[in-house]
Amino acid sequence: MEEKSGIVVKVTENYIVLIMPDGSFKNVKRSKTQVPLIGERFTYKEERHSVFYSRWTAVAAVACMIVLAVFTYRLLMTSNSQPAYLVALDINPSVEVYVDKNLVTTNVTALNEDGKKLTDMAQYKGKKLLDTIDLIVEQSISKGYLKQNQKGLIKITVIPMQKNNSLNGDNIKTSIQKLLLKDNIQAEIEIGFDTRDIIEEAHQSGLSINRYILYKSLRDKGISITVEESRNMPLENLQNYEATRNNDSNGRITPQPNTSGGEKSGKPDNSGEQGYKDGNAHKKNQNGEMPDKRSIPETLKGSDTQKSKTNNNGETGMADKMGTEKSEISSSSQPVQTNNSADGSGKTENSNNSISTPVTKDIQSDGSSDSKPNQTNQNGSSIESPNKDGSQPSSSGSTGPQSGQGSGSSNTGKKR
Amino acid sequence: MENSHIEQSIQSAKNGNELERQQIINRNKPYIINVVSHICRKFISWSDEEASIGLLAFNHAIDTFEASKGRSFLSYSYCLINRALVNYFRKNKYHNQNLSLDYVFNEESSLTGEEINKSIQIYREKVESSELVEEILELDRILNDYGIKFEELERASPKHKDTRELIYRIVHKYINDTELVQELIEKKRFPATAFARKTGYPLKTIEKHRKYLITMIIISLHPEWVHLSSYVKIK
Repeated sequence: MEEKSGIVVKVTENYIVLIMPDGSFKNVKRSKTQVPLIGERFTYKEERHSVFYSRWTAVAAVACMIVLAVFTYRLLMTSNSQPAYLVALDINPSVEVYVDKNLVTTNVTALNEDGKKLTDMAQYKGKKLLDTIDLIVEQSISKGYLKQNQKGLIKITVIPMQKNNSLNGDNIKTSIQKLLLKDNIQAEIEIGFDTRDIIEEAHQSGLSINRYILYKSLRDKGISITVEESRNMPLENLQNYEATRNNDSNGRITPQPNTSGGEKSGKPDNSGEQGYKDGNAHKKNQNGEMPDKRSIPETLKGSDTQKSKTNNNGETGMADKMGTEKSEISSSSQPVQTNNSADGSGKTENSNNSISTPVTKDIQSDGSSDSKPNQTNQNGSSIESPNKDGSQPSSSGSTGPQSGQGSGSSNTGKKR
Repeated sequence: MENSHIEQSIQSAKNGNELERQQIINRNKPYIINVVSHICRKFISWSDEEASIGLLAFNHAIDTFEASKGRSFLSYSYCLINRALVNYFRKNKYHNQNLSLDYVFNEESSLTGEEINKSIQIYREKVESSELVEEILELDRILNDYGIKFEELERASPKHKDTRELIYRIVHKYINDTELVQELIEKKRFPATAFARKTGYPLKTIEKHRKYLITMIIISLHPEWVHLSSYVKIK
């Protein structure tokens, strides 16, 4: 507010027109009883809003501000509602917690039935991330997913959805640990970080993110495991999957690197056929030898995954010859199966396959020169080996790594 | 010189020159309405009764003005208008506490010298000078021919120092060109395009401040307006 004075040149109904000392003219709002004489010196207080020279500019400015406000509001809202982090939590309940950049929970989704029991129970929205996680853990305890007498496993993966990455996993860990201590529960807490890509991959495979990460690492290590298995297996088992297998099949794994190396370098053509023949022979022998010791549930379990495996192998773009070989395998083995067990078709297939696994072992022990045949056999065997592993890790663990190699390679081939 | 001109025209009106009288009244209409409004402390339009009372009082001032008494015609007419209105308020029991009701006069009685002097003194205290008022009224009248009203000039006034100085330069340039001045006075319009082409000043600025430029040029062309000219710092 600045006092200014000028000479009155005119008084209109609404304004007093002044000529200012600098020669400019000024219209000053006139109050009702204010009628200065022409030629009178008139002092007024300069008002701030004189920026708006006309009503229209004022209206336009206000409109602009409204539009701007709406836009910024929208922008803020969208940026807020877009999760900044995805915190995937696996105890047994698999839950995904989405939080915004202020670490306030925006959404919680359950990935399995156990998870649904939790998310139905609590309203997480608007809570801080740590509180949400605490709540979930508490619920898991009260629902008996984490028990005092049993060492549990809590796996957490933090995935930044935007470019920022300032979320501190330690906070989460200590917070959970406190909770666990309170209830005297022992559990391993693992916190990892990953990238956005994993979300889609995991969701496509139908696994929770932590399970998918385990699954992937297992596959990368060449251990054959199916999506189905990794979904249904208790989390701890999945976590320790590799270890248990390693323990079981220590001796047999060692030759594996050789064979894998052979796979890469060796040409499948002649040796493959030869090896295959050998394998076939072995198979036949084995079929004959193999009694019906194999437990039925085991075989049943594997049946569907096994099929998918064979399909995969067919698809994986092995050389055409290999494809035919495989079909030969199946055709050749088929009769054997029928001979073997007339109980049921599902079982027979399995038994057939399971029979083939010893074959591979034999071949390996024979010599590493015939790398390809091994592989073909493995392909045959790998189909069912994981199934066995899932149900009966100890007995079939030995075949696992070998077959895993085959399926692993096929897996990579698939990716390409 | 101007004063004597006014006095002459008043004298001529006094002697029965109705046209001259009409001209004086017309020229001073803005003044009359302003004084009436000022005394009434509210805006008065020509349709109001107060305005016609003021007009009658002004007309009376023409008849009774005596230049020899050493006072300006405007202050004298102010005095008469004031008196007439006060009488009018009394008659109509027009109550306004803020009104100055110092003077009690009979409408027919002539003013005493004391009364007149007192009224003129008040007027002088308020107004910087009656010459300035005359200048303003004269400017208003001339601008009216150009279709310019005072209240429109704020918009056309330069808001920044740079623009103001530019406008002063333009005015200076313009009044030194007799051809342009001739055109302005005769055609009552500002040859913006031609001027811009001739001088190279930005047409946009000229267009935006056209009315203000005309006002400043007119003031500059009347150096006899001593008071108003002080507001135009040309050169």
